[in-house]
Amino acid sequence: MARTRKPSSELLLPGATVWQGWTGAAGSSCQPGGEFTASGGSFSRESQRRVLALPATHFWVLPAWFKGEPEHLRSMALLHLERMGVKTGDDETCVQVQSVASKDGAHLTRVIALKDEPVPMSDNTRLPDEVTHHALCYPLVQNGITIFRELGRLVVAITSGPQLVYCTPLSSLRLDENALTELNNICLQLGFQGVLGRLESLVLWTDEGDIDKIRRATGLTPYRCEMPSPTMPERGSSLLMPEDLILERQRQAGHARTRFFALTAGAVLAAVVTLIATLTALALQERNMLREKVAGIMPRASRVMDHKRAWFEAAPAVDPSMWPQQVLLDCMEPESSKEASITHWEWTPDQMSLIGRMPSASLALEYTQALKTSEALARFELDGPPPVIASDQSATFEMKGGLAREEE
Amino acid sequence: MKKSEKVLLGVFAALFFGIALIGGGAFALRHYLEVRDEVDLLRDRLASMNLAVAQGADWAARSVWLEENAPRFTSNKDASAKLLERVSNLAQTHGLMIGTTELLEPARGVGADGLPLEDEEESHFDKAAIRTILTGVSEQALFAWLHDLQKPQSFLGVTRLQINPTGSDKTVNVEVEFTQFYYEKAVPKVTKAN
Repeated sequence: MARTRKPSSELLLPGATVWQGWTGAAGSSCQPGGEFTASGGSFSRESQRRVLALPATHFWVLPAWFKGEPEHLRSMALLHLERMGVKTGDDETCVQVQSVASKDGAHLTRVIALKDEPVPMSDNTRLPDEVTHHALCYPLVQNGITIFRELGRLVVAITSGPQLVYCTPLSSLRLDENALTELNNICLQLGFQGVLGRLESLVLWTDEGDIDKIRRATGLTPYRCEMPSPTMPERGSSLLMPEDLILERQRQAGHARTRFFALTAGAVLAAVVTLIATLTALALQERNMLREKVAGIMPRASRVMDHKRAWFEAAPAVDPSMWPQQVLLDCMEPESSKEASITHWEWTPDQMSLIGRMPSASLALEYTQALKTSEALARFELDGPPPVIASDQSATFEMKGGLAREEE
Repeated sequence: MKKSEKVLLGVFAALFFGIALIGGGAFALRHYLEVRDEVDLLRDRLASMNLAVAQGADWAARSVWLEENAPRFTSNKDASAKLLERVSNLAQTHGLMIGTTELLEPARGVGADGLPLEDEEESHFDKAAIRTILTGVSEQALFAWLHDLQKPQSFLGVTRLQINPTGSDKTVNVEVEFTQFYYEKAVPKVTKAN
């Protein structure tokens, strides 16, 4: 049986009374998910992409005509907002500017600016990847007015062509005469600004309101229908992001980084402890093995060592290679020794010293270096101070050395 | 718990764990290095022991030769007298005039502090030694004399030789110590191996 794949995107939006979760693929109609409270909602664990649609109370949605190059629209929109006293940031996360229509070098522009309102999330563990305007999640009727409820408040959305150009919550909580008057004022104001085209229809996504009264008040024939299912916004369609979400994301990233460093440090520490413990265990194992081997071989080796000691003790008498004549011959072995005048030579089986004179310092250095590197004399480890140069350029040298005790 | 108390607790906990970690790590590392040093020492010792065991037959043969050929004297005086007589006779043979002769007491090894060593290893041989001083002797006669004196079978060895040329006629001033190695008793001296 084929396993149905869960939709990868989740949309959290303000319903008529409470927050609702919807799921679906980007650009297509969503399926209803869970419902939350009126104070906020949260995203589920399994969704890969999370979109938060904020209510109209979190935005300024304003249309305006700007004359100029399209690439300057954003700057003009920011100036327009400043002139209207709307305080907001100036980057893409705070203000979205989109050209809706153009005529004679002028552009009808929709400006969506985030208000400084707290984001109604009941759980900040999973933050949204994108934030958009609630009304942008629905297919609105062209050149029309749409009235719907959003968390208990009436909201009016006005389109120019298929594009949303204006959206605001109404002051009145019911669709009564006050609400209709407010709607007329909005339309009048937008008409004065020249941003409102010819309105063709008025759609009610709510059961409220008297159709006749609305027709008389607005001059449009209302059409009442069910609120359609929202459409999942395309990926990257909105760059808006409230500041508290950005801060929360940075805080979570900081915590994640701290957690990562702590875990890394812990892992490194554990690895070091394990490494030292393993190395120590191996070294102890090797030491015990060597101790056993040494203990096993000790009686035989001890006997041989005893024989060696006896031989070396009598070596000055029985071993010609250890006699002083041989050592003296070894001292005369280097070629440079022919020029040397030995003034003092002293030898015992354990040490040797030599004082002499050479016609020049270079010869003295050559000879002392030859004595140091002589293989036959290596056991004495001869060393000495630099040659002393006399006034006639001759040099006196001195070498001393002793037998290492281990060699015996 | 107040935030300041939490911070203080965190600082103390971090300090405690830090000190414990550093101390424990240093201790573990030192212990490991000590074990490694001991392993290296044991490895070297094992290698030298293996080498000794491999050469065991040679050294045993030399030891047998030493025991069979080492001269036997009844006392140190006897050995010293024989040594003195041999040295003097051969000196006369080579026309050398011994200036000073001195009998040397068997001396114990001396440590770095100048005091006799307490734990010096037991000698395998008894020794009798003399020091002779010769002045203005010919180099050639000196070495011929030394050559005649030193025969492996005689167990008579030069244990110190100091030569200072006089600077004329290839003559030298010499100070030589001769040692006679011997066994004092009829049977070989007890050694560790036995």
